[in-house]
Amino acid sequence: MKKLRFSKAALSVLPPLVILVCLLIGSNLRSSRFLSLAATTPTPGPTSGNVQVGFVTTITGVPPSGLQNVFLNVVAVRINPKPKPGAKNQGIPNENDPAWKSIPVPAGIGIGLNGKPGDLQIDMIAGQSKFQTFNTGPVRPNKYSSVEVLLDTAVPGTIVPQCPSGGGAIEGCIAYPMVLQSPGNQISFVAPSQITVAKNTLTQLPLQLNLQIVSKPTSPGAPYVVNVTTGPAPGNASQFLATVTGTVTGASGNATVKKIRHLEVAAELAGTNTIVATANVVNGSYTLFLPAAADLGSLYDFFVSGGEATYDAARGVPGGSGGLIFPGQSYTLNFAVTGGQQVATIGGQLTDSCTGMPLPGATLQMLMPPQGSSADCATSPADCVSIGFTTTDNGGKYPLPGTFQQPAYFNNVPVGPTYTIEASAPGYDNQIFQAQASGDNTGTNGGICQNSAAPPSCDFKLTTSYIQGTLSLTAAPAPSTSTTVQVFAEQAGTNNLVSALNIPLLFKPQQPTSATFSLNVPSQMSSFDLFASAADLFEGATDPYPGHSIVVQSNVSGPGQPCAVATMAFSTPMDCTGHGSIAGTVVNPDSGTTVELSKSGVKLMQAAVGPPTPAPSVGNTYSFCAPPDTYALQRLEQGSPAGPTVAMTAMATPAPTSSPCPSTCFNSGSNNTTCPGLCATTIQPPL
Amino acid sequence: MRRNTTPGRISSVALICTAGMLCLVFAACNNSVTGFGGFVGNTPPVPPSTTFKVLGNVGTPFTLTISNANASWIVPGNIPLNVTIVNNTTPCRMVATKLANDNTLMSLEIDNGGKIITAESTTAPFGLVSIQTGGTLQTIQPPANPDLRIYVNGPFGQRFQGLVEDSQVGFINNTRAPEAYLFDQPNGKVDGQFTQTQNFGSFSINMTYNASQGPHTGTDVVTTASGGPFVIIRQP
Repeated sequence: MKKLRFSKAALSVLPPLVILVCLLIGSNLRSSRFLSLAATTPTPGPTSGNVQVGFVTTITGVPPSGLQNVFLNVVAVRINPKPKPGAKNQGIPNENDPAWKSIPVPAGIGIGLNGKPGDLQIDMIAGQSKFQTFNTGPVRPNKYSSVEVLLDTAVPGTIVPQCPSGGGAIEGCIAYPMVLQSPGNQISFVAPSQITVAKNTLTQLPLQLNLQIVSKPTSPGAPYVVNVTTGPAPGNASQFLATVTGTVTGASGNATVKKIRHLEVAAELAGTNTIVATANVVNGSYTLFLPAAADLGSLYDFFVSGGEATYDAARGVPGGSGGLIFPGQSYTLNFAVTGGQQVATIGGQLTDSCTGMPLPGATLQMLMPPQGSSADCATSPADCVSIGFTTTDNGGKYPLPGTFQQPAYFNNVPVGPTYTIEASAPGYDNQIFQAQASGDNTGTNGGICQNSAAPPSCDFKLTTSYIQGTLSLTAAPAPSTSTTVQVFAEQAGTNNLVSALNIPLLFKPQQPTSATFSLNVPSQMSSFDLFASAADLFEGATDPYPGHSIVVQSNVSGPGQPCAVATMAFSTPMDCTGHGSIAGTVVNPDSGTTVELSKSGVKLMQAAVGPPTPAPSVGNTYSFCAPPDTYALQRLEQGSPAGPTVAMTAMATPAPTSSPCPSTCFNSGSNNTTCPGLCATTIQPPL
Repeated sequence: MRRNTTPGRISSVALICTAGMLCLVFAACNNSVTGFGGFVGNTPPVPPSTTFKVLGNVGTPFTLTISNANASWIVPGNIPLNVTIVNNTTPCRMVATKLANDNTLMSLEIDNGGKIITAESTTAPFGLVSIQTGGTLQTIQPPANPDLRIYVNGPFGQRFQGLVEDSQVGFINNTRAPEAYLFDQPNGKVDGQFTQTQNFGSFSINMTYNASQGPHTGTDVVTTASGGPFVIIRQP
């Protein structure tokens, strides 16, 4: 009886306990799902099947003027084993079918709440000429039939049109929202042949996203109505991707020990620390699928890290033309490391040498010569491969913490060797120091550095200097508005941007139209080109392109020594000119062709040349949204000038208007009858 | 008949009470699995909190100015970063400059109660992006004074529930690290309580404070906290 009574009473405890168990299991499931995505780039799980999703895009039904930006907000891609071949119902499973497996936006690119990812803005214009990797997700091995692309239903995307070329009713170079014509429809398809996902393999899922513009807005704030569909990418993945595979000898993977990275191979854009893809080493081998340009090929840096092993690095692949990879080709790249290393930390704090204040947001990277190179990374860092990077927190401390499964690179450094570390921050001189790992493999305390300000951590002071200047507007902002201006510095005569203001200038109504600024610039550069651009509002909404002119000042002398100050002044004020756009074509471009816009010799911005809007058949257009002014254009091939610099024809200037007002800015302060009217596109001769 | 004995009744009542308490606990903690604007103690409910997100290529540096109707903050950092204004008053506007001379992605999102309100992106070198919510903020407000911030720097991607409160109001949100809380007009001392809903590693949290005039960049660390799964950080 006692047992029975106790059991009856215990029954009342069951429901909450069941809920508790469900919550814990649910939480853990979410945790494990996220763990596999916690890396900064796609990192397949070691034991599941993995699917790598990417997009190519098309845009149809475009209104008469072209498009400057089209972003589609993708939340996830889902696959479903239904319908089974031969099943009676060959339709797409419904939204709530439990068999859907989701590949969400990667962490860091979109961080959502409640287990939901954020959005990844897919560039629909750039996607017409290149394959854009979405993410790699672990999926249970199976054969999958249905594919669905999930958009953010509340904010599916934005469109920025160029200005009308022959006059028009709506403003260009501003952002318009996008709404789906049939928001309830699934964006999905049944694959013509099932997608097979096997254990420990990486399966490609290249998709085509089609955006059809049904109608255009009639006023600012009104939406573009669009239809979005998806299907298999034309051809297959080999049209866009190259395969790099090989072995890693000398160490085994280490997926189960907490605070140790799994042994992995990473591919990054050559000469950068921008990781494009990573692959775990499983049974001593790895496979990477990498986007590659069909005409010129693509160059990547590769490095092996993790698994309590030493590092190895390579620039390009052996046997390729200059190490380049091309789509549809397979390459073999082998590495050798030594396992069983003790790992520790290189950490510390970066501060400003002039103020002593911590430096938040600075970047540190470890450099290593690639295979076959004897480069001295201390003197020739550009010849070396970045084999790990981190950033400083708001107190200047590094490394930022990783996770149990993906510890910070700087917390998993083998003890013994001396590493070359490069520290950099915009506006500061790069500093290179030699370091050895020491201490624990967590936290920010560790490292043995010769010139550290506070051993045993590697604390360093970065040097900087200052350019103080003045900048003015032709008129104060109208009542209840303001104008924010950012000032940029680039190495004189180049497009090498090196600094921007930490605190943009703010102009308010009935206050002086001139302001002073102090810009950090590297002390080791002798001269700079400066330019300033406004962040305006257009009829109250944020404006992606300025309505004020961009002012420039070329060849400004720098102070030349740390903590020193040089002065300058922009010789012309920023005028309220309204929007403008420039469009043109390039003769026989390739994937390395860009067009550069400059003003008075100061390089302002570059535009890619590629599949155009509205006519996909042309394939050689470029465009800029820039306020009406006197500019020059330069064609570049892989970053180098090709042909002469061409002075632009005069740009169309929006006629002053009183309606709608206020628009982006004002010509004469509080006089709200003189704001710029609708903008226009200036067509340029072919380059 | 033993059913009516005192020990039996006690055990039954105890178990039933335990069950009831568990139910109440779960009802109270239901917030931990949803995004919401909640309330603490006897403070009144508040609207869902607004979070600003700087997303894109991990590690890309940026500097942003964020302003609501009362004050503004300068926040330098690296992608990704979530920014929440505690005790917020809309409208809000954020202007961010990417500080990298490359074509990596920087995307700004405004999220209200777990729902994305707006998003803007740039891939331009040193690209400039601006977004706003809650109406039109015509002008950037003066720098916050005092400027109190709590940075939950990691573990990277760690999901957690945060409670940030002063002597009068408390705000709860459910978010991921790294996260910066900017406290608008705190009344008295501020503390933050953070509970991991996953276990990615130890929290790394610091609090910055500056009560002098002028813009600050949140580098004046006054106290730090670490550990997990539950961590409290208190203003000294």
